[in-house]
Amino acid sequence: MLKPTTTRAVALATLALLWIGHTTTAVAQEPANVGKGQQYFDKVCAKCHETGVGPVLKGRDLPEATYIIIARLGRNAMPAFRITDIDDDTLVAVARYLAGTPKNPDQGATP
Amino acid sequence: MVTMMNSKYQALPKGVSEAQFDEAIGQFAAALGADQVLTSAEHLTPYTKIMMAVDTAEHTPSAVLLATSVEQVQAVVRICNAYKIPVWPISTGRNFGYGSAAPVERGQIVLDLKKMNKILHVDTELCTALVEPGVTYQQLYDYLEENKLPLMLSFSAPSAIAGPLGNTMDRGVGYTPYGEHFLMQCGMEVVLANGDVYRTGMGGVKGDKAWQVFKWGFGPTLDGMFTQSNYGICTKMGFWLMPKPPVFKPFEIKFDNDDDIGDIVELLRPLRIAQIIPNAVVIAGTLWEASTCNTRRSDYLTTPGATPDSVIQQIRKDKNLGAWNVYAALYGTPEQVEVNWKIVTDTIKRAGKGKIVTQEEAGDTQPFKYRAQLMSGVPNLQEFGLYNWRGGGGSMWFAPVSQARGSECGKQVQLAKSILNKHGLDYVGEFIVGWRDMHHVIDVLYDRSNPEEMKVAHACFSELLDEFEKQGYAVYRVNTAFQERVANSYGPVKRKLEQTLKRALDPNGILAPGKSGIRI
Repeated sequence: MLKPTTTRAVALATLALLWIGHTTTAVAQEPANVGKGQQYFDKVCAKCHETGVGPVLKGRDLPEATYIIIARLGRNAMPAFRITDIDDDTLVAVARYLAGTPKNPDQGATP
Repeated sequence: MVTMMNSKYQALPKGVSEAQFDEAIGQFAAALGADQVLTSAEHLTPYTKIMMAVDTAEHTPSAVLLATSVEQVQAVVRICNAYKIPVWPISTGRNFGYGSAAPVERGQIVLDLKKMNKILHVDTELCTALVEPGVTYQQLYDYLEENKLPLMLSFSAPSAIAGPLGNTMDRGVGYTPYGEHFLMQCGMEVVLANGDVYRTGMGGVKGDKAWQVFKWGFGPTLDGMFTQSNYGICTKMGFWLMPKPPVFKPFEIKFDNDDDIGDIVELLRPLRIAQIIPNAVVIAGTLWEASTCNTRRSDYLTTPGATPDSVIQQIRKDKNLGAWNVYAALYGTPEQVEVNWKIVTDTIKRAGKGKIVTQEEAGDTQPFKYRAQLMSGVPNLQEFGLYNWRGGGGSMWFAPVSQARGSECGKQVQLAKSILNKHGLDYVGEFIVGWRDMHHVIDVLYDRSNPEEMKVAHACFSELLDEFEKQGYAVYRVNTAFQERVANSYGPVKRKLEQTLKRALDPNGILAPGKSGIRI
């Protein structure tokens, strides 16, 4: 029997690796690409994550990779955001925007 | 149960060897571009995120293809025919609680049409639109707003990320006067299994301009045949938009008792049929309401099982919710709305029960706010609060249809609640009132991260289908784990006819075999 958890673990590891590779490129090419990330966050993510439906994401002091991995795979009821929903560049920009929001002491780090 | 295989692919289509699949993948890459053919775990895993109570592995695709044009869709079906590979088309893949983006069977290829996202046409005089599969309601809403077009959308609750084509093809419903979405559909372009591009209605007439305004064309009208089915891949869909009314007046009517459901339906039906209340009215139960104003079961209980009535009573009190909460709206000129408002308020007064809440009284509070948004075509995702009721990401919609009669609705609620509670789950339901029918929509919510609760939810869902069928009820739509089961509810003659059509139109059975239980 194929274990979903195994597939998930492999995917997580690969995504994290992809992110590390990707982010280096992104930093070099688009150092100030925060506008695009915030724009996407406000348009889509905020509809859950700023309304009490999903957990607050701003000020969590989480690494960018956490946002990327959870967005791609989903988590509990949170849908997975596929490559056709949000491309890698925009997702990195969203993660960078969120990771850069000022730390809020009321928000724990656990996603 | 899925057998582990030793392959570089996450899954393989049934009856296709790895070597054959290698060849097919090469062909797909040549037709679409190598970067538009996805087979790796990191790319495929997001397509396997399901909410149904079955093993994810049962719905894992073998590959995902990203098409950007009708010609590419034609190329895909030709290759699928050559290699007898089944393909599962998705538009935005946001059919939450019905299967999301994952294929009905392990190993099918997902054809993701999200990149085909052009708003091809919006006619502000005739109030029509023509869109590609990947267009989302949010995208269309932004387009209308940016261009200041006086038109209103109708959509399902996951409006911000779902889209009109997919929702209509699965016969989803919304909350405005145009809430029966398939009724408002006008003109389809469909890629058939043999690669032909077929247009319904007036779409085949050279030089025609009436494709989006006249549904029927000449001869058989086949649009319905392509919905909830697997006879073609819809690549364009036309539909009607409602002119934005000068006045929009949403309101709620709260009823105190569980037993009021029968009277509510009897009160509302005449107003709905006569179009005094023109929109798809909702009658929401307490726990639906509670969840969508960010109430969690864990706020009240930490023990497993069905939530006791005493706790539900307490939630009503704490959150100021009714046992049943009706949401409806009036649309039109000030004069029209004034007249209809008087009819509505007089009806409620005469009934001697029900407390009307206006937008002015509700202010910015939930769930009134998101209900008003849904009834006026403003996208939001507030209804995802349902998933927080128990947490754990498990959701399966159980949606039996009934007549819009009070006695029918009361009977359905009692039956559903007793089965759900027996399995330790809660009745979290609402009725969506069509013109003469009710879509009784119940979210079977469970903790999908708990294997035991997953088993329970599966058993519960099966029992709901069985017991409702014994009473003459069937669902109008179901998740991809129960397609075959529900197809049986509708009888053998229908199934045989559908199979005959399938064999004629798709002799290799490449298009979504298993959708609605239809196969060659």
